[in-house]
Amino acid sequence: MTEEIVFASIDELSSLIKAGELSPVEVTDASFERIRETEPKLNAFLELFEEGARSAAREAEAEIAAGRYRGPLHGVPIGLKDLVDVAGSPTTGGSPLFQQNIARTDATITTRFRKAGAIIVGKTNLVMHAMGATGLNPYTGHPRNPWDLERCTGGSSSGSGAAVAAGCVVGAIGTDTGGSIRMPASMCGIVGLKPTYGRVSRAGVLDLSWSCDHVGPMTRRVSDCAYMMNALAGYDPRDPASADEPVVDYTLGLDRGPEDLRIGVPADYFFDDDHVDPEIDTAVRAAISLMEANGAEVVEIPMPWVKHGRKINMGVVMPEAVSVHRKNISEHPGTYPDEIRGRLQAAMTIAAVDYVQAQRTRRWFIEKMNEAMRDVDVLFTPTVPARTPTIARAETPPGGNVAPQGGSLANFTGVFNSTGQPSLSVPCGFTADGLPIGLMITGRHFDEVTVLRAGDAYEQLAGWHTRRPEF
Amino acid sequence: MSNGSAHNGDSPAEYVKAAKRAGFKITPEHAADVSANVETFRKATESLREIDVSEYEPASTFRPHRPG
Repeated sequence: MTEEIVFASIDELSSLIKAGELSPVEVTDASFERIRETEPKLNAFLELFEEGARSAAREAEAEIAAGRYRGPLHGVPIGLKDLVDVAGSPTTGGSPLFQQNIARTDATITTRFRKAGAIIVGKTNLVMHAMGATGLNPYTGHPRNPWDLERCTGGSSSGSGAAVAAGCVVGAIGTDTGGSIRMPASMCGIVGLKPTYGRVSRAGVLDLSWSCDHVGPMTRRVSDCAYMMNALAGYDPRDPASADEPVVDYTLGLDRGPEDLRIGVPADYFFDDDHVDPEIDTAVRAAISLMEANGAEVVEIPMPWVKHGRKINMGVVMPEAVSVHRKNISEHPGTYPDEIRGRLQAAMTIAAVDYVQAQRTRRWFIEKMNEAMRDVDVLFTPTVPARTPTIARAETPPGGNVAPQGGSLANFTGVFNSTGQPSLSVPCGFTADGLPIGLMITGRHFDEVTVLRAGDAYEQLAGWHTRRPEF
Repeated sequence: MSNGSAHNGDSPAEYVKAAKRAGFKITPEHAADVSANVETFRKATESLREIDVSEYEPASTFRPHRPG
């Protein structure tokens, strides 16, 4: 029974919970039991809220029994990346510097989850300061990939990726500045959505780069992401970048299938032999063919300029990250791992005029992207260009953040942090050695509904979500 | 940054000297890693400089809008 509960979707759980056939207390107990069983192997959590979660679950049980059912997240266990404030608990960013950084108030998204009746079971592990693609953290201990414990989870939302894949929680929050939701989603074989910039509040979430940081859900099913977005999305005056755009029902596109969906496939960069591993290329092309065979229209789009997307992302993120960390890295350099310190210190050499140039190029790039997507609904690309590295390789200089031709694992995801578009990673197969591969589906600004529709249609056709890691 | 650390435009060699003055531990692997990162950022920023953005303001105040 526990196995059935911990790997259930929100649809499955909520129908039982609403009908009174399953108690939020049972679901929460199952979640903690699964965490106890897997945590010695995965190291996915930094803090657990057993007492608070059980108390919230009892409250949910009583409310539902009294006829006050709040909706699909009521009584559903979730995790928060440890960049997110929970009042009274430390928000550590995975760093020794912030062990005593006790949050005075909840982050806006924490408040929204509580309002929806979700049960917050704990804080997930992460790359220190959310600065890394492989998922490693020498201070908190590396999280392990449930599909192969010797492999990286991807980062920086590494603990969230491992916890969701292993069935510890139904969903977890990740943050994404260059791909930190989508990369661990891809490498851990789950779904991760980076919403449109400004769609989900960053208030109460530790910063890395103000203009590229996004907050979003990581789940096992596309529909679960849609339910979580229904709780999370909306204008927040506490976040200066929050968008005052109407919120829609993110489940609207689910179960509509691929018919008449217009899929754009970039003719440049993402599928170039020198940018992507051949096995990943094959899996993503197979996903596109499957959608086409089932009624989607596929259009190849020339994008000779798209190669600049990741450079813009880097040119914006790194100076902003230096600004975020300037005081701490100067006063406490020894608290930063060599690899992160090296990047921040190197980024100090980026001239102010080059930061402004990156921000100007970004506007040019967004215009190009909007024009290219005028006649398509979504773009289909690989999420990560390279196979998931082993932890041993990632620990050894120059590290595991290496894509073909020496590029970064974030070469594809970072493109859409530059544009701020909604971008989803969905499992699209496995490599010969059994590691998950991710398909990235990117839509127009604020059109998460179509992105989720495309992801859901593919998920139902392909059925990869039925596989579970054994470890 | 104060404490003698790097300033905009420093070359990798100058950076390493500045970082050592500031008391950062620079192992040979670390110095090579920092230099490699400096080189990556240099190439990226130089490449972006070649794009004509004379008609574009910075996107730092960027707010996406629903198309159409």
